[in-house]
Amino acid sequence: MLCFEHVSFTYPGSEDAIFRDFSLRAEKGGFISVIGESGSGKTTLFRLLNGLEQPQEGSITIDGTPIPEKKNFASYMPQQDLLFPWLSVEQNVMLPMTIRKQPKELCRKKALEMLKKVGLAGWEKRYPRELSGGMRQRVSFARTLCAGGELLLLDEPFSALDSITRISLQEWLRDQWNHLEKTILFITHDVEEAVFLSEKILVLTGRPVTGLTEFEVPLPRERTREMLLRPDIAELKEQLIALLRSEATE
Amino acid sequence: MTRITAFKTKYAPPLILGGILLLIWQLAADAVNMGHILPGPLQILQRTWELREALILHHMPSTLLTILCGWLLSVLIGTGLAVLMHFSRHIEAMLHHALIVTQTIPVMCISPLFVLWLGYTMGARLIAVVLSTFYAITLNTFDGLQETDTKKKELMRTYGANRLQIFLRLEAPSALPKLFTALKMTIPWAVVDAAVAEWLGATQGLGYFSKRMISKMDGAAVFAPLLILSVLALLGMAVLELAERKAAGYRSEL
Ligand SMILES: Nc1ncnc2c1ncn2[C@@H]1O[C@H](COP(=O)(O)OP(=O)(O)OP(=O)(O)O)[C@@H](O)[C@H]1O
Ligand SMILES: [Mg+2]
Repeated sequence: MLCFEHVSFTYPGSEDAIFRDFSLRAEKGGFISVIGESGSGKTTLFRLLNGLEQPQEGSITIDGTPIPEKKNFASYMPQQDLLFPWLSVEQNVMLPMTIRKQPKELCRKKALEMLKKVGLAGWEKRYPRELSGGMRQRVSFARTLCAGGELLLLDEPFSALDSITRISLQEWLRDQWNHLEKTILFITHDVEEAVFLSEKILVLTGRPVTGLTEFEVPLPRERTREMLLRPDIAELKEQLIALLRSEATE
Repeated sequence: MTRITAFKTKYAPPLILGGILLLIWQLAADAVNMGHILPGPLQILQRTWELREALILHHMPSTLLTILCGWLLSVLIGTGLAVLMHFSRHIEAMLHHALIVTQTIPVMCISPLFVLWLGYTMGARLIAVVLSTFYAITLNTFDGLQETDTKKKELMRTYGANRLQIFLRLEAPSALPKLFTALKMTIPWAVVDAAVAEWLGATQGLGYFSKRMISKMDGAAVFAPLLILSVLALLGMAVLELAERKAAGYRSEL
């Protein structure tokens, strides 16, 4: 269980608080999307979670343990793929493990396994420049899996892709999650993407963010795109869009 | 076919320009007809050929040694300072202005002093070469290190990387293309300053030889060692370009 309690956060040197007295609870094992307008604090939420920033007030805990004492619980996948151009695909994927000084052979084996998982077996000796945008994102995802956290923090991983690649990667990610024992927190701007992918959607509200509105997505574990046309789903999308609109005009 | 196109776009223009300039030079030299002070390219080539043994076997080795040792020393000092400055803001603040001051000194004017201190030794010449080249290396390498993508650094931190790991696996490779820029910039300087240092204090070497030929009013022989120096500089550049393509071909992807 992931728990934010009365968290307040302001970037050092800045006047405006991003979070004020913000609380959040999320169960293990879910696929949770976070949406909110641009600049509302979604990326900041992830930065707090992976320890790049510390809240001025309040606490963030995982199963009751404060975050600074937890190690390797969260794996962060940034918006850009951030692959290192001087490393081969395999070496890029191995990076989080080699940093922890795990044995080379073990790292290589795990990396190959992950690359197979993301459908890039046979590409391990290539370099990032030889890959398409979608393939690079999948390498980045494989690298995130190799970081070993139970919680995956995915920050708009598909927003830079064309819509066809994007749709196929969404279906692919949903399928991955069905087979992984991981909790996914997924940031997106896109209401449709959030509905298709997640069990639960969190909308950050207020500026600074003081709370959130939760929505359950009434779709089964195995889903198809056609289900997005169901009337109850269409209504959910409308609700989300209306809420985001009202947030934007405030 | 593509080879021919590559030749046309890449090598033909400099060759044509070079050919035209050499032709003008030759024609002018022939017209003036005072070979001892204005030799043409053909006379220089001929004189180089006549002097080949003395130049290549006797004088080139010591010059080459000065260039290589001086330049390598400079690379060591230059990158070392850059790394120190990168790791400590205090050291950076301390060295920043001191380093600029070293660059305001004309090496040519101060080199005789090194000769007074150290005599006609290699040491005196090395100081001159290092002084003229290390700063460009420090500055470029430091820039390269500092400009490392913050997002990549943060990603490394989320993997639990320590300061040294971030340096070795991210910052150093990120700075490598800039280091190569500095290496390519400084190779010709090292060649020139090694020759200048030999002018001012040596009993051997291509620079020394050139100076001696001036007093003999042998214009073509003044140019002959310079021709060899140019060839050395060009060879050095070619080797560096090759190494850069192998080791830092990712410049555009940073
Ligand atoms: N390092 C920083 N220092 C100061 N302010 C920052 C910093 N990073 C972000 N901010 C500010 O914090 C606010 C929230 O930023 P954040 O990146 O969390 O937004 P976001 O919801 O992820 O937006 P987007 O959807 O555009 O990615 C913004 O107003 C931004 O200007
Ligand atoms: Mg963001």
